[in-house]
Amino acid sequence: MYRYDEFDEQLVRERVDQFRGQVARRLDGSLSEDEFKPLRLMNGLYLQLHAYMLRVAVPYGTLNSAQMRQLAEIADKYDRGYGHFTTRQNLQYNWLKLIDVPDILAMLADVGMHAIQTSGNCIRNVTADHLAGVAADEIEDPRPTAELIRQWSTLHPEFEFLPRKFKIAVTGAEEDRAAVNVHDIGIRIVTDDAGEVGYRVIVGGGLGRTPMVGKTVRDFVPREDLLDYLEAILRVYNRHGRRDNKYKARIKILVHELGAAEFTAQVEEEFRVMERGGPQVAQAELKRIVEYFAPPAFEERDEPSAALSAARNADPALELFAQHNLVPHKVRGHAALIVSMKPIGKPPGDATADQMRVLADLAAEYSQDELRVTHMQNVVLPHVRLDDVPAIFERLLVAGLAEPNAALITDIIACPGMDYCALATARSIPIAEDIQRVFADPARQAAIGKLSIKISGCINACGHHHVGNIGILGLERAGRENYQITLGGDPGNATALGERLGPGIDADAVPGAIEAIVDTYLDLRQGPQEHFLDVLKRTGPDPFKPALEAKQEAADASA
Amino acid sequence: MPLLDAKGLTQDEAKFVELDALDSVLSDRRPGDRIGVQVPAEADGESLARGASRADLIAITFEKTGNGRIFSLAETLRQRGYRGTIRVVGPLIPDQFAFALACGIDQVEVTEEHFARQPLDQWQAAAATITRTYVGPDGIFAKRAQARDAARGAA
Repeated sequence: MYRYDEFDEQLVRERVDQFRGQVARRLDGSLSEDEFKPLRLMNGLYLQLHAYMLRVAVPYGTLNSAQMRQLAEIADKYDRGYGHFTTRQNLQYNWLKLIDVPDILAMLADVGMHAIQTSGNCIRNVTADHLAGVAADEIEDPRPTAELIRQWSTLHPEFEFLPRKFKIAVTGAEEDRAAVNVHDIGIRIVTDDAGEVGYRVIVGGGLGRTPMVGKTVRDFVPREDLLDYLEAILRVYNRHGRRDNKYKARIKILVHELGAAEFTAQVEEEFRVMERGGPQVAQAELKRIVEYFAPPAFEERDEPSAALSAARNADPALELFAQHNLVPHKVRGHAALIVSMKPIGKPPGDATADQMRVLADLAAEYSQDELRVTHMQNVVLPHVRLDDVPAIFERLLVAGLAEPNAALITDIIACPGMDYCALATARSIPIAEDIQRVFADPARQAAIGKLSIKISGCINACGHHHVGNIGILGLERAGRENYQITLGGDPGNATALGERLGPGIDADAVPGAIEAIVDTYLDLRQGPQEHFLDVLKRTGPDPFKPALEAKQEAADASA
Repeated sequence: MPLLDAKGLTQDEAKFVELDALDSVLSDRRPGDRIGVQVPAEADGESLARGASRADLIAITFEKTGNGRIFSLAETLRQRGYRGTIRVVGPLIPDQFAFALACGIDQVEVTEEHFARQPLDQWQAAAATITRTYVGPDGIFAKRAQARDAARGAA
């Protein structure tokens, strides 16, 4: 795991002092609210409906137990005893006072954490595959590259005031678990014909109001050119990205308006003429950073594990859990264990301080002191021995964290919606909870199989509804919440945006409509191996439409 | 109006001319004259670096604090070889001062009202707050690369 060295530590401390000063200058009137706003955003601080929200960076989702314990301390001391894991692998506190924030940042700095550039019109916290260094299908661990980009983009003087926010994701595996096609820049680690490792660079993807799949601007950027190539992309964007309309300011709009070919030509031209510093940096830094990510010392164990098999046979609940929440590890006798932060009927991604402490304890005892936050808002114990799974499961049960639903229909992503967010036009958390209750029976979920539902409470699409197998978008129509259902979204290798099934429906009609869609799928599928997306491809959306229409009529009749 | 550079308050009187008149004015200049051009933040850095390469000063005007295009414009001018003075004229705030200096901007011109609210000590304090950076000539990337080269040279 990356450890902050003296340099990083000093920078983070100075940043805390800087923010303390900025808060003081806001309070004494030196800074106007308009001037202060981008500064607080660059430190991850939002003003929401009821209070300030602080978004803490969890670079590439990796945490150790001391860091998780500190997050729990902050939740107890300054929030209401819980935190919220986000779709960008970060953690948010929703109930803070502005005056406390500098002290909170100092507490974070004590464990090598910060909130730098988790918001604002700058390069945001870099995300990566949550199974980095674990997955068997990996060309290379993406975290050293992500960390290099994090360092390069931190306080980069040229790119702190971009036209709009800028998100970068990196994956080193064959299966894209980092959704690189829907980021401002997506990076895939690839090898060329000569076996050299380099980067495929994808630009202009994104969700939001105008969802777009990114375009590949270069199939292979040599390793030492990466930072210069990113600089060329950012410079072209900062030069030509629109500043007249915030809804047209993301790089995806620039790529779309210029056309991918012209945009690529401009990037290549800038790359050709610019001053290059990257090769030296890559040589000096990447090697150093890679050492920080050296895999922990593993001892190969028996696989399958006799202890786990016996326990699974004896305990149907453990059996169910092991079926859905264990992911194969590249070291024999080990697994990555997904702790679902989606217990039935609770807000997706929320964790209490006590739960955070349990996760910290389990990481220290069983997972090489490591935890990962996933973009599915779950937490992974990445390196557990199969033999230890029964003991871990017991502890998770006691903590209310043993939901056996990873990647199943109740593993729902939902934005905070109108319960917290000032932008939201509808609620999303209660909708997620209602749907979860419909499918609460673990056997029923297991029978349905992998199926993703993603819910956004407004057009800005923080719940990524465009790439949900079933997407739900909450809008406001004539003073009522109104929900549009989309089918067919996929964030992975075959990135696809969902298509609207029909007119929007009322909140109370949503769970029934989802149930009808799922029942239709179960009727149509040619066996449990045929995924929802495959059925949809085979039959088209028509067989699913009646489900929605029936619900619409019922809702109209009751209105 | 107050003019700031890395050292504090400064004075720099220049005569501003249209870009297409620059060459003729420069040929008639008297010793001690400072000749500059004034351009908006939306100007094209590439052509400006060519057309104004002999200007003593390029003043970039902008309307909004958040308009970070000035940073890329200055960086482009520097990377394309412009060696004169770069000034920005607009509502820059002290917290952006270090970024401006790092991108090759030499001077900041703000209004009297702005300077009364954010006086010199705030600019100097803000510029000095962060002493560590990753990128740039004084950044840790460059320092480690230099140390590596020196070690290799000594070996």
